[in-house]
Amino acid sequence: MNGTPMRDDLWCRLSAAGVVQGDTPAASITPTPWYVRAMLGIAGWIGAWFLVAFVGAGFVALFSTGPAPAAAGAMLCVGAYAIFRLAPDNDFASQFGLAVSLSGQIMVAIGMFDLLGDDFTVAFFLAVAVFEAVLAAVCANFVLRVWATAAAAVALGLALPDEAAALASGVAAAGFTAIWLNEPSWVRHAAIWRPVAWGIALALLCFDGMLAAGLDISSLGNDVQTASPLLLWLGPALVGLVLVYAVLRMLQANDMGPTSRIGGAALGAAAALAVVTVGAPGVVTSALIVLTGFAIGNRALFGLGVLALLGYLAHFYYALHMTLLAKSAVLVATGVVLLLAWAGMRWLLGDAAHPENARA
Amino acid sequence: MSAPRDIVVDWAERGHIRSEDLPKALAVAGVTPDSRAWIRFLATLLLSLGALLIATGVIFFFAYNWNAIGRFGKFGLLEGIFVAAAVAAWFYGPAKPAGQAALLAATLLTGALLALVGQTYQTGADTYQLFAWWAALIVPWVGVSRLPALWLIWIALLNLAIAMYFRAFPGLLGVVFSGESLLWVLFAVNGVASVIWELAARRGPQGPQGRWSARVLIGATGSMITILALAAILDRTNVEYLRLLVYVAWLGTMYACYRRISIDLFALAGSVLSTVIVVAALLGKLMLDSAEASGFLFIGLVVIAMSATGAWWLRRVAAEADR
Repeated sequence: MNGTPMRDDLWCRLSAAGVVQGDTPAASITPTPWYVRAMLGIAGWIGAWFLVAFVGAGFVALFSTGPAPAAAGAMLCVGAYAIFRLAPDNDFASQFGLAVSLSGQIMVAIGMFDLLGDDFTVAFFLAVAVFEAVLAAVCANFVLRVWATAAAAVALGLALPDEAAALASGVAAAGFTAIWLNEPSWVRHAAIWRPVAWGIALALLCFDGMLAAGLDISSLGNDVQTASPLLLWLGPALVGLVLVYAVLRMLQANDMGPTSRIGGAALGAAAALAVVTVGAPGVVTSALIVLTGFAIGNRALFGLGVLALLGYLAHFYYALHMTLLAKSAVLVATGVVLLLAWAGMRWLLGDAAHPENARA
Repeated sequence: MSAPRDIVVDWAERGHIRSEDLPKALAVAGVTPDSRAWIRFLATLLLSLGALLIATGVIFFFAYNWNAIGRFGKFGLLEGIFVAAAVAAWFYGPAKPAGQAALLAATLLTGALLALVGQTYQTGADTYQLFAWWAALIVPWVGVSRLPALWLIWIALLNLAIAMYFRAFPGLLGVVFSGESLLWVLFAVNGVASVIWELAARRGPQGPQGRWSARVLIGATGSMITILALAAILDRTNVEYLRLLVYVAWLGTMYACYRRISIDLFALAGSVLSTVIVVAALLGKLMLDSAEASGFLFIGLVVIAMSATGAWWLRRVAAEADR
């Protein structure tokens, strides 16, 4: 026995189930909780802005033309890449590299904005997306990879033409599901894929947040109504389809087919939720994140989904596209449907559906 | 302390568990839900979300003040739903998800009923009185439910009542009732609530919901004192060190409670982040007038060094908690 009591106990149970063999492996470095990484990310951004201010105050000429900040920023990013390669396990070097890279990214973005039309053009967003994607692929730092993935995905969404802008959240939802529900296939390469998975989750919330805020994600500041109505519905419809697919995968993981009574009911409920809330960006997305987090036992992902759901519901009160009376009708109707679904579940499962012994 | 999921996934990442065996390993470790856990989760989700949506829908309905329904009709409708929720709570009991959902609905509908009374009879009551009465009237229900979510709603109502009171009487005591005074009062109230919460949590068993509810309070209190510390540094010509002493005392309390008495990495990580922000602001205030470019570089490096040291320390504490 080489581990802590909890590790030893877990190892014994896995060994009894035939999943592992031998003694408990020696503990590697303790996994870093999400809130420590969030602290590092926020502090990294604060440090990055001070570094950019230093460059701006000390080398004013750098910001006079586009190529100069882009080149200087790229050099900073290369420097950060070297730091991550040379000292991957050093806390100080990693945090310094993160702040240097973020400040480099700010300067590259300023330079590219100037070079590619002095406006939020498609070329600018595509360039940012490619640049961030490269950073996510090559920079061996968890926090940086989360940020770079989210930035690349959001920039790609912003580069989409008006007609296809609403599809961004659907595509992001598909990517989210494909990554998170296939953890075993990438777990041996988790150093890259886990931060990418978190980055896609954040990008997904960004897309729906922008839609909920009434922004057209293809052209900042324009009203979302400018896009074709059909394509506006296609995005939420795609998210709904992804939710149904995710539920199907969760059923299969519990040895239940789509033709079974429970499987059919679950798929029907997911489809009904997608249809009822098609005009309310964020609700299906939050449900997708909550269900995925619960299915794979990832509490942080589950919490992110619950927070997003509460945020979207709170935003619903302030949204101006409906009167309070209409919102009231939507809320009560959806609430009644959910209670009926609970009653249906009890009816369908009979005695098995009496979980009330445990506290919620 | 590492969660079982982190440990199992770490073993899979290092090749001690075959990739294709990861789902089975997570199931054996009790990380992924079995069919019973799924049923419990779905029942809780459907019931609590259904109750929440219906109650907020009813609140929206009465906020619209629809004239097509008369005074008696409105009271009859609202009181009917209210009584139905109360009867459901009594019938199912507070230990069952259905009873808890009914209590949630009844708790929210209490506010709707108070608002309707004020709207109909134009009682002249201030908004803070609505929230204060709302909080006072639901105390027995919240106490019976023993649900963290309902207690948090109760504390949120208390915060709202205090905030509305300060808005209603901004000049009663002159400068004493400024926006900053409100934050100090809310910080004190939420700080006391955190202490009571932690003491109560120590006496009872740790529920399946873990420490999320305590962390909401810790996060709210920490955010308030951080904003107050920033105000003491940035809002005035000279830094008010006396006010900063309260901030330092809060940091010391966090260290004593969540490092010495028990370990809570979330609270410690939040304290580290708060320290980084406050120190950066203090250095900015003291340095940036005289040494602009070099000052920016120095502060940036200090922020990087402090956060890296914080992460290193948090990992050590986490490893210690694992042992």
